[in-house]
Amino acid sequence: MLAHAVSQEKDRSRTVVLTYTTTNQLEDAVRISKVLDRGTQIPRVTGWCAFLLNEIIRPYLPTLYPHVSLSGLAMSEPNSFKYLKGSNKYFSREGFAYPSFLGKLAVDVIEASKGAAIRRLESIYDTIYLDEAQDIRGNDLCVLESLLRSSIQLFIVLDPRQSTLSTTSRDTKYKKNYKSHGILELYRLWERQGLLGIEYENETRRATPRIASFSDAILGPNIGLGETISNVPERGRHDGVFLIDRNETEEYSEAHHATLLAIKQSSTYAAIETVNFKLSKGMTRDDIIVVATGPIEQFLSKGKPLPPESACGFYVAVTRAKYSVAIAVKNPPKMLAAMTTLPLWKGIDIQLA
Amino acid sequence: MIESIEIEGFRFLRDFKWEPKEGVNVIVGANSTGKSTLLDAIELVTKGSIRNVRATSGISPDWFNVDLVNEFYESLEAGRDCTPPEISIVATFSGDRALAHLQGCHGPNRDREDKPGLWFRICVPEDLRSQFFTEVREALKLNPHETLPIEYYKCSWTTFKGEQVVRRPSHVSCSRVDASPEPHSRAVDSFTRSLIDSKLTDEQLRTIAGRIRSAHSRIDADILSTVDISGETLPETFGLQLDKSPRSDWRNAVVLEKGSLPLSVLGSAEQVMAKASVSLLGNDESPILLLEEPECHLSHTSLTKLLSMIHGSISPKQQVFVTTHSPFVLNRLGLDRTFLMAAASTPSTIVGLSPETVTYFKRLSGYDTLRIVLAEKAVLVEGPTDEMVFSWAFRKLRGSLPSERGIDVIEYGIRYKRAFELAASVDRARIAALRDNDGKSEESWKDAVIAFAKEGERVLFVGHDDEGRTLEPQMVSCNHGNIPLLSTIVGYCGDDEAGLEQHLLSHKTLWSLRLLETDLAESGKLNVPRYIEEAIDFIDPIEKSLS
Repeated sequence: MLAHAVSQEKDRSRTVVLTYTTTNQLEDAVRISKVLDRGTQIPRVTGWCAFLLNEIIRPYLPTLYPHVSLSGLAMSEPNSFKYLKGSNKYFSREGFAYPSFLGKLAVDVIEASKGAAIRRLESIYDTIYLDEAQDIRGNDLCVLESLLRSSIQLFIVLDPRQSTLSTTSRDTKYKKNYKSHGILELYRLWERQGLLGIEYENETRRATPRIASFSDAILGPNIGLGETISNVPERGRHDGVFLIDRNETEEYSEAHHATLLAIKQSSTYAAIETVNFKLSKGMTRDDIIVVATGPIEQFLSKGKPLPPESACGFYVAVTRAKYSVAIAVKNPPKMLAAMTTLPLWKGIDIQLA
Repeated sequence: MIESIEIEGFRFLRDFKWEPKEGVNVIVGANSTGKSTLLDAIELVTKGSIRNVRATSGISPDWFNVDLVNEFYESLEAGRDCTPPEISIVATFSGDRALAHLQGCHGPNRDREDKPGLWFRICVPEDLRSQFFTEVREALKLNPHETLPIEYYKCSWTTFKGEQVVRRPSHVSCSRVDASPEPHSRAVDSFTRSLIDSKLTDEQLRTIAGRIRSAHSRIDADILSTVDISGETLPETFGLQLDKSPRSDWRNAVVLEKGSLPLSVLGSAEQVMAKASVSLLGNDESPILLLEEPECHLSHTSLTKLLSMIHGSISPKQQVFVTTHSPFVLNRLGLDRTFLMAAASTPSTIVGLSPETVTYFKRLSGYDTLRIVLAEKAVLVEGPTDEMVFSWAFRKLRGSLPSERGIDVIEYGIRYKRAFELAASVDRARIAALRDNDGKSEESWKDAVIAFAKEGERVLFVGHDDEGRTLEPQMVSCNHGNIPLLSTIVGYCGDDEAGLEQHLLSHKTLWSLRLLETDLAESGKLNVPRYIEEAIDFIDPIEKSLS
């Protein structure tokens, strides 16, 4: 969808595509270049942090901290920002900016430049595409708001259910009220303020209907996004959601050519390919194994709600699959029995592998 | 386009600020006023090189302003605090959104409103300062006229956005077309090279390199490797292969062509035209074209062609900087786009010229406009007779010819009104115009130019009413008591005034030439018509000439 929209842009040299993770930068760049004719100008695809650093902070940093000579983005951060004052809160001694407060720094620079930073962007760009915007958090959202108030046209693509990453975990701006998938409420507020319009895209082009309805159940109906529609046809063999034994992932992975996803340390599991939840974002595989954590088992068997971040992580993992998802649990038959009694899983087809 | 350029410490230009116009900018000025330095500075700040030599390798002590360097050494000797001489060139741009990526507030003056800009500096980095000072102090002890140790200097080329420029800033391009006496082939080759760098995409470059590599290896494998050269005075078993070192880079083998003839076999006019049009027309960026004295290497016809090409094809995004000594170029490109450079100071524009006058000078392409614009002191006379009589009179009264005292005597017919307007717009020359009264009152002539005349700067001197209609009767009447001498000098056999006057009128240039050529001991006894003497007193005040 994003790639198609970008390809319709009149002046692609005045278009930029932003996204938070490098995986996404790559995916977007590949998708866009596939849609575009060979030899035509491909718009720039760049990371959100690089954008803040080079296009907002760098040009106008002297208006805020004239003595800081900006080197780049810091690879590591201090353990505590509590006692850091002034520019030390934002930069290492060598002039590397801390990612956690990049958004705040950008907000301060925009203010110190009296809006010149935004005006500069207005003369460079007609359109900015922001992909995976659910990752934009903290003061980065204030930067986003400034962009929304500018003359630049913005297309923001986000799936609040995939809120597993954050541009900043230490910046507490908006953290309390718009936690995890609750971020949608902020966009809804902006919609009421007339800053943007929201279109809900409920059709998935990746997962088959059975996987789609299972994933919908993970976050429940309260998020207010409606039911996911899928017209992806099943392939006719080993389709749908399965429960498998945690100790049998290796055999299953080999039999079904499945990729294993675990919350962390996925590489300790035996499988043909292993990825951690967080890094799996943006990925597509035909067959997936998701290793259930304790809370996920509790959620599946007893319907005990997952904390928002865990729910999003689980959601992302499940939705990587196109045809089959196998949840690796301690005791598959017992789990299936527990699940069939729960109204939560009513009408959702879950099988033993 | 370049909106402003500030140059500090670079050659002739010690402290130079200029706001050029969009489109064509004509820069005129005497020699050594810094015209070429200005073009060099524009090249440096937009390309990082001068005539295709990178600044980093081309930097030399003579790039530094001599006065600054001398003052630096004087302060050093006197033990005063001083900073090493620096070169700083700052260009700001406007009018093109594509240049907005150069925008920010990392310019030299951070309080200033932010703009797209480039800043080129040659300075001694902070960490080398103490070493630099040790070195220059040591050197100064041995030799009082030391040159700067340039190995301590570093080039820094940054955008106002705060980034270093690595290769060249995108969307800024600058081409220079000059008449430097280097072999043409070299100029064209490096020009083509710069075209390759700016025009070919990285992918095209890689493709060419790849194909040449495979052709090379095929030639090596199929032919050269089969050639046996053993025993040919070489000690070991040597073989042959194609050179793959940078020396044989394919870029050096690319030339411009026209009708499948390489440009190098075409004339220099073709070459200049090619370069100028390639950089003006074949470029969708915001090109800057530097044209150095195009009149030096073009025939009149080619020059006309070049000028009309520039005139016809230039878009507002483009900017042309032309230095010239030719009034033809100046008039053709428009006096209203002319900037005057006086000894390394900021150029003054020709302002407030009426459109009719601009058109007038454009039509009069061969006219000596430049002499009026450039002259510190000019005397406009009607024709050759007046010029010679003026010169004679000047020599009699001042003991030297006008030109020896920096006064340009120009035959200008009776078009002095336009000249006054032009001089008024430049606001620097002291101009006297001389004319006959032709039977009309002196006052009526002066009234006609009142709008552009100015006491002490631009004054019209008219032959006094009662002393004759034209120069000849004026000459006769002021030498009333010396008719035989005047007659002898001008070669009239007789001593009646009416006959002498008639003789003068029918031998106009001849009599004045004889007057000028006669020994001053003789001709000096003659009187000078009053209005000419007044004009001399105005253009070369007597107090000054005595001192």
